Amino acid sequence: MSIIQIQNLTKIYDGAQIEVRAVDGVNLTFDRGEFTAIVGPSGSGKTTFLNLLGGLDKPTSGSVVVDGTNIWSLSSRRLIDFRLHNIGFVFQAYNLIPVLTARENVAFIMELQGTPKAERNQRTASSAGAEVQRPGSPQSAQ
Amino acid sequence: MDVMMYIFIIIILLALLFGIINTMLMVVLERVKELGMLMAVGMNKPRIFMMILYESIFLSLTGGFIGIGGGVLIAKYFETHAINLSAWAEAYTDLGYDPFVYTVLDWGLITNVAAMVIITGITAALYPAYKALQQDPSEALRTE
Repeated sequence: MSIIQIQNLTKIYDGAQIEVRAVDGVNLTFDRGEFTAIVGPSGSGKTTFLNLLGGLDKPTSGSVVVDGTNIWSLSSRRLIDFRLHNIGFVFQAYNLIPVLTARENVAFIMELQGTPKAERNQRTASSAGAEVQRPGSPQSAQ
Repeated sequence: MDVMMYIFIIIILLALLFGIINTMLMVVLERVKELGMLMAVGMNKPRIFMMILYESIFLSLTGGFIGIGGGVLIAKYFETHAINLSAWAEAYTDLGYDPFVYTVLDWGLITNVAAMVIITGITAALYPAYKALQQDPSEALRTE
């Protein structure tokens, strides 16, 4: 059973002189639990492709169906909600919130999802290495 | 006299308004990437709007309390220790003023000003908060 179905996915950036086809007619399916690595040289469109899959960047054409939902047919409000409850992101630059501790950073998404505080505390306590330290502090680098 | 006082206060509040708009716009522009990340992971627009609004309100409250506290302390001192303007005593006497000026604490005015500072803080945050909502998450995440 496929969890993600991509049909004819295309993303074209209108450059100053030429249009750039970052993603050009991709058709793919990913099965539940499947581990996939997307490889390619710098500028080949990997990030654009992942942004289209994650509902961050709007495709020029084509569709992305995640768990039965065509994400690009959703309103912007419902798309944000869909990302919150269905899609996880691990950013290249981590993008932690510097004023929050490591544990608060871990708990932040759960807080957005409306998880009760007791459950958040329990789940973050069980996260490996999530000590109550601020990112960037000397201790957190250990 | 009261009308003149309120005109002065409105001028000061206008300066405060533009000061807060400037500060909060910088807050938004310096945190484009962070705002993009928050939107990407699912923080909805009303929450982002309220986050910027709360920041502005707390900024106004902190500044307001420090300002009012400092002002009250200074005014309290000059309630008993006159501001000595005797160097221009002749001019003041001619105009019918005492060259030794004592301050008067008007708690009604202070309360009004505190309320106006909070309202100004909220008003000033509306445009920066609106600008924050205009961020496109994928674009914002690309910024350095």
